[in-house]
Amino acid sequence: MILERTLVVAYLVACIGIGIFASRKVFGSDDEYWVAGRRIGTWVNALAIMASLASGGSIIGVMGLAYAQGIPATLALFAGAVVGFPLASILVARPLRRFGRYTIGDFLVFRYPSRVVELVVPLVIVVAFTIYIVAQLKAVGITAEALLGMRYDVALVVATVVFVLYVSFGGMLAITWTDVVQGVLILMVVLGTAAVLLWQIGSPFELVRQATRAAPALGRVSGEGAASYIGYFVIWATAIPVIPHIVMRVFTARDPESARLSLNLAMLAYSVMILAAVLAIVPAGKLDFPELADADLLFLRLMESYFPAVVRGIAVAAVLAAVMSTTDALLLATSSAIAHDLLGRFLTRPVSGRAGGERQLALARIVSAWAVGALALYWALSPPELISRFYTAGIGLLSAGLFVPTIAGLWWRRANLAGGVASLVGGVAVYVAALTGWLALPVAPIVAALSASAVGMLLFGALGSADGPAMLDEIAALHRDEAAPSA
Amino acid sequence: MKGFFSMRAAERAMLLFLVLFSIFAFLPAWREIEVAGMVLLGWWMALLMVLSPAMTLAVFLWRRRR
Repeated sequence: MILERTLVVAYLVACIGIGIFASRKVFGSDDEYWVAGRRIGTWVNALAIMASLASGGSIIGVMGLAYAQGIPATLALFAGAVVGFPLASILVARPLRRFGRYTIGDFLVFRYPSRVVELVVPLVIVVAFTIYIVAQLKAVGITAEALLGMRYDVALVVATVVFVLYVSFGGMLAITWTDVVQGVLILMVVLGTAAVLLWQIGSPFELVRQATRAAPALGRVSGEGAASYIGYFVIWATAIPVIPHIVMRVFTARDPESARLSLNLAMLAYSVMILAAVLAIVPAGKLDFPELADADLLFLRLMESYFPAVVRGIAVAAVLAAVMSTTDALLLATSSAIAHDLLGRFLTRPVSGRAGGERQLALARIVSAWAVGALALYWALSPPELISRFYTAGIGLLSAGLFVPTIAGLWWRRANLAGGVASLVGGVAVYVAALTGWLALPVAPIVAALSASAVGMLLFGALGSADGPAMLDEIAALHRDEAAPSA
Repeated sequence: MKGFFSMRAAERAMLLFLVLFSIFAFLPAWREIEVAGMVLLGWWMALLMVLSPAMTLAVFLWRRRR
């Protein structure tokens, strides 16, 4: 236990050190703080994107979900995320990188200039990402409890303080540096564990065959039914192109081509990691631990039974890395939604003098990061079950509100203010109503919400006044080098 | 398609492939047929997770080389 704890403490101290070091470079500049000066290279960005998406959900949660709900449901959820990457690469990476601001909110407010958009977009991001952060904190707590013998609540407090510290002071630069280390660690542990299990038991086909013979439900469509499978898939496929912590990574790339290539490479690494977890580690776990009370503990139980203390220490660090690499990016994106998108637009307007406004914003960045961290910590003390499903519901809110307005705003000439506002508000309203049961529908909530969002864009877009040529010229400039001959 | 900003043909084809393959993978028939202990829906999803990144990367590199 001492060795595992020493490795984890060393890892946490290194994260804080990186944050403090990065803070010297980023404190005085929005460009440096939010998007690391827009000079992150392709490979570094790819690893950082992969690590940002590979959350505690992707290690603890993916295995827990597959164990409890079966492999097909889990693959449907994560295949959605993998399909979301090409959508992001083709539909948003280049034009948004050319747009050259800081957040998805910047683009939506530019495209649909309205107080409603200024207010609703950051609120949706804050709600969805706070849910996401709570799920990550649960992963920290159960990992530390199971493998380090720490109390759940103590582990939550320590982890929250560490990642809020390095995010609030070091910004995107600190996140990028830590994410690269975390990405390597995550890949190494998941792929290494899968390789050991495959070497001991056989091919993925053989593992799946053996596990489903013992537990047939593992390979079948679970009781939730097809609607929820399609719902999981659609949520993630439509979330990736607009999810703020991935979009901010697009803005950090040194140029639009680098942004696209890094998304593609990240997708490849993420895909391999998820397949290794679901097709190798989960079947092996089901054979060894057929009756786990908490499915999210599967990976940790396997680590305990197959590997020595050093490897377990590295595995704990990898789970922490997965959680922190996502949570830090989520925290920065949430903090940007509050400090940049909301406070930056509303509260600093009356301030006379540039220096006063900058000081206010720097303070707002730090205070908002700590406030979101504290709120998520409080919620995580009484955590939900099955973290992957829980945070997927939160991410659905983002897709429901932001996907149609963003894609239509970038690609459809007839998108306009009325359509954008109706699409945003309609998508969010229908998703919340369907998810909470106010609206009983025969399809998954996300499918209904995206349909409502698209109808809002079409209907109110037709009723509202068309955008002027200046706006269309600006959007056309974002696509100019796309250079395809007109269809 | 005059209402839309133009997109490269290879990328349009890639998007179309992803949409069609996703629809195909979710066809009700695949929820009952089992191969190696798992319903085909699961295997199609696994295949999609391999094809999607591999093809997108190939299209990107091919277009960049040209």
